[in-house]
Amino acid sequence: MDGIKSAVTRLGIQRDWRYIATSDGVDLEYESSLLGFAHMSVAFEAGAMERVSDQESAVAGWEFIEGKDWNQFSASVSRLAKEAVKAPLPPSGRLKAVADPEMVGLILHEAFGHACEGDLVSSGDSILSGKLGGEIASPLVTIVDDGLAEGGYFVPFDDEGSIKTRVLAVEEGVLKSFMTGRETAGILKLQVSGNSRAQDFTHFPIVRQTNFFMMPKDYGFEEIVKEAGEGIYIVGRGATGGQVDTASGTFTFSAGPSRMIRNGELAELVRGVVISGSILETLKGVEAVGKDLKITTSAFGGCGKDNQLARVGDGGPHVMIRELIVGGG
Amino acid sequence: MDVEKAVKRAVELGASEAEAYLLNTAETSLTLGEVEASKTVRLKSFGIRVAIGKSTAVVGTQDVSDTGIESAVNSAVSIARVSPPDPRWVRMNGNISVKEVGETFDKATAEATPEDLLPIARGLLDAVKEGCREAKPVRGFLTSRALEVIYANTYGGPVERRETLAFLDVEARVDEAGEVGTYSDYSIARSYRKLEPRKTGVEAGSRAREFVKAGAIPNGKYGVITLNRVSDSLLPVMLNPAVSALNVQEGRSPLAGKIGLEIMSDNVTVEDLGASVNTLGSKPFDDEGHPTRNLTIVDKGVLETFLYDTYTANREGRESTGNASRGFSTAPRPSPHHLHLKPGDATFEELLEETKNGVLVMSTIGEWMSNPVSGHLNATITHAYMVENGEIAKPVKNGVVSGNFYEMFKEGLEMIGKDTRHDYGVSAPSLKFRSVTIASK
Repeated sequence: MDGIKSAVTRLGIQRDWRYIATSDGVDLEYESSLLGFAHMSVAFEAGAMERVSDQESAVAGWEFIEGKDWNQFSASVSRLAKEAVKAPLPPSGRLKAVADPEMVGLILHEAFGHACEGDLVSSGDSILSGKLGGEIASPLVTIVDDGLAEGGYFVPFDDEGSIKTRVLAVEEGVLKSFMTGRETAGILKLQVSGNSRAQDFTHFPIVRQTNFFMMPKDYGFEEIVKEAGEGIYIVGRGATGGQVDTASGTFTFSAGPSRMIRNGELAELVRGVVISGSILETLKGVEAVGKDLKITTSAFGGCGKDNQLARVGDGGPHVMIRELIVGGG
Repeated sequence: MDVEKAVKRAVELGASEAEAYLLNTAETSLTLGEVEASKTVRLKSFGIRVAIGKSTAVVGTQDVSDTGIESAVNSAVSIARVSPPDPRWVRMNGNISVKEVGETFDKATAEATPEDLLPIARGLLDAVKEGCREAKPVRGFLTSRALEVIYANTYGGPVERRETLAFLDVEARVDEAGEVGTYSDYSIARSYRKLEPRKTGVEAGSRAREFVKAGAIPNGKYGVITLNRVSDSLLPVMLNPAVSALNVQEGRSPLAGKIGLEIMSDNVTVEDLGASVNTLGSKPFDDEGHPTRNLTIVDKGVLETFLYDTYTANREGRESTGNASRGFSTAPRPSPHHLHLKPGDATFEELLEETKNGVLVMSTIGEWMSNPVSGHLNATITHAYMVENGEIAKPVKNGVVSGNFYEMFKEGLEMIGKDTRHDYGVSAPSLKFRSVTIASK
């Protein structure tokens, strides 16, 4: 495509076989396959360069690859890169934000999911330590961790052999539970939720998220944008990830090419969008939750913790947040 | 099966060239904090790359029995047979030899047991309390690791290198009247006996208390000082991909076409220390068996060279710079061994004194989400101090540093400190920039 200087396409195929036997009688085995297709395009115009990448993955068989026109997928990534290279940076400062399901997933995973991991809670490394039963989010917010969520990664049981149960972390704004493994469940006096996962046999199982997502409510997308009035629509396509300092509660993530919201409508494209915020303020600032739940996973990355990588899924519906810090020009 | 036999076996099966890479790792680590545990891991990983004409394939395995290696070699040859030829493929590295880089291996570290590490861990945890009596170490690691690489290809070898590495880090937390302050610090050395548990723990504990009272940074433009460890985290994110000849050739580097041009301020010199004594990351040969060397990448602001492995060097008809880097199951790519920004002559105190209204950045997260293709740098501040009239005024947190990396290092760079911090693969001093955008409340 004209204007595209470089492109990389990747096919990701993972076969994961796990067998766990323990001295108290666990004898479990499962195998899953994760497939994905990723494309990155670098656009060049008038001395400026910009890259955009996107991926789609599923716990599925080869039919996932055969069932989609990947040429069209790659071409649309290239078109977005060409548009993004001409786009300005967003204004820098506090903005009202509408997040798409992928961004909601990333925000939840970074801004909240890690702080709900039982090992961080029990060691005092989470800002949520001691807050069970407290109101920590807007009453519109209900968050779950589910190892079998549609569209997400597949975790039927964890690497200590515990069955993965659905964790209701937040119900209508109230902090209800944490994710646990055997050890942290004992320390925190909670049920074992089956979240103790190891990258492979050379690593300790540590408490990890599986598919962490926000439950849908009743807003339509256009309704949310209209209600936002002025702000930024942050888009997950082309985002590169996020990170959190769970102890201080500061999180950050990058968004893909996004759009400003002006007069209740989507306006110009902006690039280089980086968001930052504080865990507790962000979830309290949720002002509208959409009805369009979407959960995704990736064969090309995952979540890093203690030098271990774990495949995860995340998502939610479209969500409006009162205020996020946007780093721009 | 050793690496030479694996190479011979690949050729018998029809490969025109082959290289074998064996990686032995041994690691002992302690997890610190409330949940304490120790683990010891020993792993052997094997990689085989073959070429049949211009078609190549790489296969890796952690089954290093004779049958495991035989199966990996077989797979690699079968995959290469059906792989489309790469018109740019010339040949594998023919210059296999080693460079003298001093001692990179410490026997005691390679053989360290959890019992050997325990006194250091205790010292670290005690030091957190020494830094602040109310501080609690909430998270930490202490690891000793040994790596051994054995390499051979059709043109030579085997060559063998060994290195050890020890590191510790700790995060401290102080709770005071409902407010929380945290800070973490780390120490890295070739030998676990050269780690600095006391200094690291005291720093984490005492800073954690200071950050209990951290306020917000007002949104705006500031003179910014990046503490040496922050400089160490920013430089590789932006420069490592940009100076890779592969990214330059494939049109993914903003430095393409800029050799001989001034890309940074004339007080900036950046080197890759591939073959220096006492440098973490220096090694006698790269991951293709090619001898390493020290290279000046940016000389007084002027871009001098990119970093090459054999494949990218062959594409330009030149010699590899000895910068091939790989995992056991992936093909080599060019990458720095140890990126070094040469220190200036300012003390840290002088950097502070010259800052009227600014921010001293102590710690960031998310800098890896910066965009090395566009050159746009982002880092989210977790810990910083406001600086007023040359003095540290108060602790602050939460803000996004944002700007074009090359503009920051050209027009924006005011002073270079001399307080170099040596980490694995990178070393840089504290730096002072003018007019950096910080998005915050």
